[in-house]
Amino acid sequence: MSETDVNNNDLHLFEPRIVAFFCNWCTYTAADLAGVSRLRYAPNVRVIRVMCSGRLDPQFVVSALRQGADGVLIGGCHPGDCHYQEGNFKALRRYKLLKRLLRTMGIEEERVRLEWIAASEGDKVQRVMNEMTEQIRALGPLCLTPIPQPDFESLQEEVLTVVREEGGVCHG
Amino acid sequence: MNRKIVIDPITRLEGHGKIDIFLNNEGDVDRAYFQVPELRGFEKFAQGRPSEDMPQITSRICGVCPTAHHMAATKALDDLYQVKPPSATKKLRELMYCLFFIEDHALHFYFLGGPDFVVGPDAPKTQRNILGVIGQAGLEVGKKVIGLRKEVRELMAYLGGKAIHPVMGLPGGVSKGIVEEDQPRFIDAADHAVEFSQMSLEIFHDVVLKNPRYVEWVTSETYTHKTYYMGMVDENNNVNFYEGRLRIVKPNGSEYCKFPPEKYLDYIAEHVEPWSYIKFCYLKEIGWKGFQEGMDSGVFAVAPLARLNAARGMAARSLRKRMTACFNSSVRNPFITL
Amino acid sequence: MVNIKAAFNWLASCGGCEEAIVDLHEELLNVVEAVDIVYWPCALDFKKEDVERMTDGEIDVSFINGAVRTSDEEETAVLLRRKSKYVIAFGSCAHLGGIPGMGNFISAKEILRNSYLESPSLNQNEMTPQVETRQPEGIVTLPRFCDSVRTLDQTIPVDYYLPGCPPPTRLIKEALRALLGGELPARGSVLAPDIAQCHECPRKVTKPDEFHITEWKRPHEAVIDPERCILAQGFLCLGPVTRCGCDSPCIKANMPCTGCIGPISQIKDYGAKAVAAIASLFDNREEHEIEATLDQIIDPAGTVYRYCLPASQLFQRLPGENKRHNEVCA
Repeated sequence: MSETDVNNNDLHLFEPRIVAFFCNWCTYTAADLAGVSRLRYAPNVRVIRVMCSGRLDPQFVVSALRQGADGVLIGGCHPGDCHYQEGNFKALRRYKLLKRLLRTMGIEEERVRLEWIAASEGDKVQRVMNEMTEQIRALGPLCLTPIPQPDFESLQEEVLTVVREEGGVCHG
Repeated sequence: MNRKIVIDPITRLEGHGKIDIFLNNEGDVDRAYFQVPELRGFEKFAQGRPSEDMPQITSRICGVCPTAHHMAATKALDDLYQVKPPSATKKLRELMYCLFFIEDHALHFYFLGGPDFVVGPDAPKTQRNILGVIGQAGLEVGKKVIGLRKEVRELMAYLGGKAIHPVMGLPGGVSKGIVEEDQPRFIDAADHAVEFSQMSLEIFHDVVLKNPRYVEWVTSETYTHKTYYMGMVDENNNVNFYEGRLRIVKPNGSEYCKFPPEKYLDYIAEHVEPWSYIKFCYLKEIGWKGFQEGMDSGVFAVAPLARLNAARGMAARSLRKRMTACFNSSVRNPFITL
Repeated sequence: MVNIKAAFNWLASCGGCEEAIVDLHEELLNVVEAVDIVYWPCALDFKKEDVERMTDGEIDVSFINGAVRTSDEEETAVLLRRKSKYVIAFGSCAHLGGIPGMGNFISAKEILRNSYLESPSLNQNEMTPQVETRQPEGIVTLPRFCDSVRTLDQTIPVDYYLPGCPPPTRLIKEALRALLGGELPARGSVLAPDIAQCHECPRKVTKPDEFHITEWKRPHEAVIDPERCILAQGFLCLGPVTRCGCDSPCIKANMPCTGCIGPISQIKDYGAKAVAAIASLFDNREEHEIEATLDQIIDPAGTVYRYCLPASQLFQRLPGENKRHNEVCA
């Protein structure tokens, strides 16, 4: 999915796919508020609710990027306001270290972003989503090298047949 | 009609290789190409990694001689950080290296190169291996080989963590020492290694030097190369495996140059051929003259034979006499690497 | 004892895995009694054509070590897969990509350019190795250097994995025992305990319940206390995210674990999980303090992906500065 062929003419058709992890207590509530307030924001962001930004395993970010996301947005409570005291600080440390890793892998800064968004900041949700969508639209799709898969289904079948028929490696 | 014989892969050597042999119309060898069909890119992907990772990264260049790469990288770290390791560190490193080359050379002698002589080149391919060697030389010899290697490898793991891909090297130091109670193990291993070497030398005498066919072969023009030779020596020009200067001698045995290892780029360059991924080292001053031997060609040899040729002798006095006796006539022959 | 046919082969490998077999020492003699080794280039004289002549599935088990970096290695992997009932990915390179997997931090072009055109040891060279070279005697061929490093299971279906760099003797012996006794676990298993290093670490009693690292140190920046938990001393030990099964030889040599044996099964991306672990171990809250602490970890990507970059979710570095608006993504 992230390995879409895009040429010059089609780029204006590119719609960024952004996955967002919003913490339940602050950012997700703010996103709700944005919706209820009928603030218009880009439809490119798919929101996943987590109980705390500290729940965010960096594996979620790389998996999202691998599975087709052109960007990942992380939203948590402002420092000091975390519902679970410490969670967002952990998220911040993880985010900072992950960004360094992603930099080495050539992934542009704008693609993975962390924002502190309080429950009352529906307008911030709107602003960040719109901004990020446009930044990634300008960058283009994230074209990670496809992970090679062995293309030998028939070979596998052959092998399994042999294994089944002969009862495996050891005969007694 | 030109024909081509392909040997793929080479066997009983560390590394990947294939040989393309082109025959002329008479069916004689026109030219043979030894190709290394692999490249992993260490020179490039090591860049950007922390310097102290080099001993453990470069050791993966080769899993048969990881200690060599590990030690070279560790010494490079000394140089990088401009630190002089204390004498205990130098002794521990040298000890590790000595343990390493003993089992490494034993591996070559019995497992890799040995089968060619012990079972012979006419033996069926199913026998040209360590099992064939044990079959000929006897199970007792086989057990001694295995036993010596086991003893030495365990001591390498003691010092370096793992015998394959050690972890001990640090800038100016090593990560672990020896406690007094364990010292006797090292002394015993050294004694066993000397006995073992003497046994191996006797086997060499009995199997190779007493066989006129082998001697004729080994001393023939076909297997003789007269190139420059490079090896590390101490201040007396005796072989040293851990530190010293690199000494290069000419095909006639006289000294060509002697330099500290960190100056290697002043003396050695690499040549590229489009038909192999491996690069060919040569002496910069003389230049690349092609795959030629002799005074005018920059081709030089390294490894055990070259080491002996480039040195005056071994540091241990007891060994010098034996060495002279053994290598009287055929010092320049690569088969004597056995 | 059952007599089975086995093959050992190396791809983009260093030979350490072959040495690990030889390092079974006297047990090797028992192995060769029970196992008929039909192909092992490092130690035996059988050639590729001997394998090509075998019937499909004739080899009971092939132990393949090394990553896949050239077209020849890919073909050899496919050949052995065809001829074998079972294929075991042996060692870190086959399992995860290994150290050569760090080639995926750069492009194939950059590697070739560096080795053959830019290296300081070269003397004005202008050519790189070619897949086909026309020499006076005939055409000489080389395999193609692939665009990226692959693990074995990204090339052929793999039945089991024996992890480690090289696989520790203990795990090799257990695997051989399981194989010869017909007691292999479910296909696809990694033949090693599925629990973190810390579980078997000789220093585990000194491991604190909570970590409050104030400074990350490189192994030469301070003397590592040989008795205490290495991670607790502020040296980056990857034990918490790495499997056990090796009996912690690196810890015993007083150096931190670098993760060669790979992740436990619950981990999908070893590097990302290591990031999670590391970030949990220090306490800074202010952005600038966090950045200052992280500056002490000088090559995070190389540290956490040292053995497993091809097996990671990201797989390979993006082309970098070539990512322009009008660039075609293939």
